[in-house]
Amino acid sequence: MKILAPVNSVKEAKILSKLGAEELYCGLSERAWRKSHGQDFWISRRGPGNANVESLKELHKLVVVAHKAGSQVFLTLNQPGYAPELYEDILTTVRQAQEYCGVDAFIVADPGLIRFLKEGLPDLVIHVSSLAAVLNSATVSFFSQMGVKRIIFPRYVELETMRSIIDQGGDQIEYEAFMLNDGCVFEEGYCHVSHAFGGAFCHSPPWDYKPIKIQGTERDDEHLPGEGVLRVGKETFQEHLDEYRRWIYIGIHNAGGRLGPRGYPLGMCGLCALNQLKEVGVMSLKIVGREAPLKKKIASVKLVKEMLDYMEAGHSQEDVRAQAKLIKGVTDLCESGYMCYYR
Amino acid sequence: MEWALSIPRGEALAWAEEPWGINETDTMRDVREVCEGQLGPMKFTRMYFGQEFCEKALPSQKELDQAVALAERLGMNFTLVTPYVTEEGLQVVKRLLKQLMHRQPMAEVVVNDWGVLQIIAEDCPTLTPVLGRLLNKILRDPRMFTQRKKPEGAALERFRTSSVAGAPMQDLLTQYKVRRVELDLPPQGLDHHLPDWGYRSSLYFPYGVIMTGRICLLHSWGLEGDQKFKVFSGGCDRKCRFYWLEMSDPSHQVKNSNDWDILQKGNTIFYREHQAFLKAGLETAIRIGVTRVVIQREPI
Repeated sequence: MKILAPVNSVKEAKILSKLGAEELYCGLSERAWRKSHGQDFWISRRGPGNANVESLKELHKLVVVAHKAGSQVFLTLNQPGYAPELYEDILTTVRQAQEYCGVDAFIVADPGLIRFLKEGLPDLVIHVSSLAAVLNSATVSFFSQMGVKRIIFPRYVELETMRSIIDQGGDQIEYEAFMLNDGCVFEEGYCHVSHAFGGAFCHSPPWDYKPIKIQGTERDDEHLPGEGVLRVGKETFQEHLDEYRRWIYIGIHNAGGRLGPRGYPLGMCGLCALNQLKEVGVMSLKIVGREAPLKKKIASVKLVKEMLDYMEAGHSQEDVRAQAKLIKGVTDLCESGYMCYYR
Repeated sequence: MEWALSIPRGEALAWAEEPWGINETDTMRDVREVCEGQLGPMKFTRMYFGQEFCEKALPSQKELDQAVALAERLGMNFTLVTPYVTEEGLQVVKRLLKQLMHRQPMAEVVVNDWGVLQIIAEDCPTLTPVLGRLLNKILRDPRMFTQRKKPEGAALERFRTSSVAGAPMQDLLTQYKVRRVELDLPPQGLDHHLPDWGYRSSLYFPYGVIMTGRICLLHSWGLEGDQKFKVFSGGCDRKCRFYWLEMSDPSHQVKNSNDWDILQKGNTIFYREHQAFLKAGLETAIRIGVTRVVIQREPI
C-alpha cells in the first residue's frame, strides 16, 4: 500500500516524498481563476492560501521534484458539482496540468465533468473523489463506465463494505481509503455548503440544539417521574450533547490540534485497520490536510510510514493495533473510539 | 401544477387522507396559504413514499405494498423515494425496486445515489428514474446571504445553476432515462434559466437540505460511549420519528434569518422556509416552469 500525502509546494513535495509518500495530492488556486470567477468559486473544496499551489509554473516544478523522487502527483478538482460554464476553463487547466506539468491523475467528483474531461482528453487518468460518495458497488459500476482508474472511499466506509465493493469492482479499478486526520461530521458528498462562507458549517459555530418532541409521539419512558427533561434510557439530551461535542473536539477538531507525546498528530486515524485494509485490497492510504502546516504533514507521513513498515514486517492485526496506540501515546483517546475511522 | 404529498414512512400512510394534519401546524398552514393563495385549492395527485436520507429508514416490502395500494385506491400516482445507500441498503433497495416494477412497471423512483440509478438502468429498466435533490449539487448554504457580501450578477447566476444544466450531464442523464430533476428553493433563489436545463422539474416545500450523513446524532442518544457517533450495520430504533432538533448559534456567526429556521432531524440538517420566502419562491417557480411541488410535513 502507498502513502498519499497532501502538498502545497515544491518544498513539501521534496520532503514528504523522501519520508515515504509515494503519492502526493494538491490543489491549484491560480490568480487568473480567482480574477475570472471571484473569490468564492473555488476550483476545489479548499480556497486560496495554504491549501493550494498558486500557479501552474509552481505545479510543474512540484511534479518534477516528485517524479525525481519516484512519487506521483494528483491534482484535486473535487467540488461535488460545477456550474457548466466553468467546464471549459477547467479543461484548459487540466490540459496544461497534464501536458505542461506532468500531473499523473486528477481527483474529480462531478460525473458531468468527468465525462467532459474524458471526451477532451481520452487518456486522462481520473480518480473518483470521496465527494462523489461511492458507498456501494453499483456506484463503482456507474463510474467505471466513464473509464476512471481509482475510487476513493468516503470516510467511515466499513471494512466489510469495502471488501464487498472491491470484490465486485473487478481488477481494473484501484481503491484508496482515508488513513489520517480531519474527520467530517456528515457525508461530504452530500454537504451543500461551502467553506468559503465561513468554514465547516457542521461544527462551526458550536451549535446549540433544542429537542422538540413531535406532537402525538409521546412515550411513557421519556421522563423520570416529576422531571421535565427528555431522556433516552438514563441519558438526558444535554448529557448526550456534551458527549457529541467531545466527539467533535477529539475526532473532527483533531483533539484541538495538539500533538501526542511523540509529536504525532491526533484526530481521526485508521492505523489499527492497516492489516484489514491491505487484505480487502485498498492500495492507497490518504493523509488529509492540504492546508495543514508542514510540521504536521511530516509527522503524519512519518507515523503512517512507521506503522506501514511494522505491518509489512509481518505483524498481526492485534500487534499493529497495540503498536499504533503505543506510539501515538494517547491510549485514553484511542480507547474512546472517537478518533477511529474504522471502528 | 402537480401537487405531490410526501409520506416518509409506512406509519404515516394515514397522512394521505389527512394531508395537512388533524392539528395543522403553523408551518403547514403557511405552506397551504402560500400554495393555495397562488394556485387555488390543492388536490394531491401523487404520493411520494419514502425518504431521501437514511437507508435505516427504508420501508419494508409490506409497507411498499400498502403504500402502492393506498395510492391506487385514492387515485394518486406513485413515486418511491430512495436515499443514498451502502452495500447493505443497496440490497434492500434492489428488492423494493423489483417489487415496485412488478406492481407498477412504470412507477417513478426518486434517486439520490448514483448506484441506485445504475441499478434501475440494469435491472429495472421500465421504472422511471427522477434525479433527487441530493444529486443536484446546488449550494444551499444559509450563510451565503447573511455572512458576506452577497453574490450579484454573474456570480449569483453561477450559484443558482447546477452541473445538471450542462450538456455532459444532460447526455449522461438522457442515457439513464432521467427526464425530471428535483430542487430545493436555495437561499440564493432559483435559476431563471431552468427551462434551458432540458428537464421537467420538481420543487420541495418547505424543507431545504443543507447536509446529511451516516453518523446520526439522534441514533446515538442513549447508547454507550463506544457505540456513539459511528456508522453501524443493522437496524435502528429511528428516534428521528419523534424529534426535531432546533439549532441556534449563540456566537452569532450564523446570523438568524427572516427567511428560514435551521433544524436537524435524524441525520440531516434542514432549513425550514418561512412564508414570505416560500411565496416569492413559488412565484418564481411558476414563472420558470416548475411543474411539480412536493409538500413534506416531515422530510424523514
